Amino acid sequence: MSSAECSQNFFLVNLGDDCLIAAQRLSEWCGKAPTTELDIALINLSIDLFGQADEFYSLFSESSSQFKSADMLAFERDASEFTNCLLVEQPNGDFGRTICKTAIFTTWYCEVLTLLQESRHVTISSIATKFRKEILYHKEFSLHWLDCLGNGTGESRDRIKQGFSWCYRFVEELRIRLDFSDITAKKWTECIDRFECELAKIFAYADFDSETIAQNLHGGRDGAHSEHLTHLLSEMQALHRAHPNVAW
Amino acid sequence: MSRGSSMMTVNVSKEQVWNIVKSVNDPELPYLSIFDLGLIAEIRFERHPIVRIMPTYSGCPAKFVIEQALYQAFDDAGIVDVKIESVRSPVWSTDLISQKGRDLLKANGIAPPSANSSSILPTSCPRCNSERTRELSRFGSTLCKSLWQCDDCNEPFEKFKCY
Repeated sequence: MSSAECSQNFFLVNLGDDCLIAAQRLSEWCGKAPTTELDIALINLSIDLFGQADEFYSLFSESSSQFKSADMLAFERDASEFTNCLLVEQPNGDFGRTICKTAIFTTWYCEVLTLLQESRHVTISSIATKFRKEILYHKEFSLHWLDCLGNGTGESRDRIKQGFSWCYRFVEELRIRLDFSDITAKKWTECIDRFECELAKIFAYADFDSETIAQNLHGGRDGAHSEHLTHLLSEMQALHRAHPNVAW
Repeated sequence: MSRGSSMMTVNVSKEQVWNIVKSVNDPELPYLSIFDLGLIAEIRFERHPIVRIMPTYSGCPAKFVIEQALYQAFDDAGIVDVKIESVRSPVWSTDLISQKGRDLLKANGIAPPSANSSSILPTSCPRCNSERTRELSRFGSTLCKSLWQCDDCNEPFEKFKCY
């Protein structure tokens, strides 16, 4: 992909932001998950997403005159400059809600990567192929736990229903088409149809009825975020902002 | 020896370069060379050798360590005019791990990856070869491994995940 094409492809920043913010949220589980195995699993998910964010940002920065490095994109922007979807910045809540959030995001992201695998740009299709290998493990993990909790006790099922209720308001935003020349309106519609189909399957784990949820929120892609993102960034960026040019 | 301090780069043979590359081991699997792990996409011999490597997991911290280790190995051999490049394409896969690599994994207590990533295939215990094993956790001590246990010898073991 030529430099000019890359700089027009802001979807790299959209997806980088999604991955970075999702990763930072997941990292908050470190030392707090229900079991050691889950602690390790959630951190593994987090590390994969940090790596993917780094790759999206690096690819974008290679042709950007404004952002010369992945670190600049991650640490030198304010909340209003982030373009992640609102879903990933939401607080973790309990383990059930984290699983719901991860399942919804991962299901969407997996379909987006499947779409990007068809890109005529070798770099894009290659990283999509690579990331999809990693994200399939995330999807498997979250669906396994949806099954366990959704078909577990009355309490665990209620927690999943509450988790989905909390998250569902942010699903509408995921239908907004990413701006990339390879993603035609038709292809995007097909991608979202596949996502909806998968979503119905994951809601079925807990008989969740999305019809009851009316309010759909969006704005994240344009930088209009919830207050939660500001708090997340102030913690994540503190070291870099205190020591702007510090190197390891 | 620090980089740039040597003026010894003369007549480096392709064989020498390959041998240096093959001498570098993975930092987290120190008995296994990055060559047997299948990380070398290609070595180009232009004015200077260019070693192109495929990273494993996107978030794997070993990526930078491996690049540094390669530079160090070339430095140690007195070759400073070399370039290490990380490539996005082709994409690394566990299918690229050599038979020697798979044998070394097993010899060191790690079950080699199976061919199909999406299913939990039975894995034989790397210690007692029993097929009566089960997965304890899909995620383990590093991004590339899952945690298993053998029901015959009772030993827990790690398995290299398919990628």
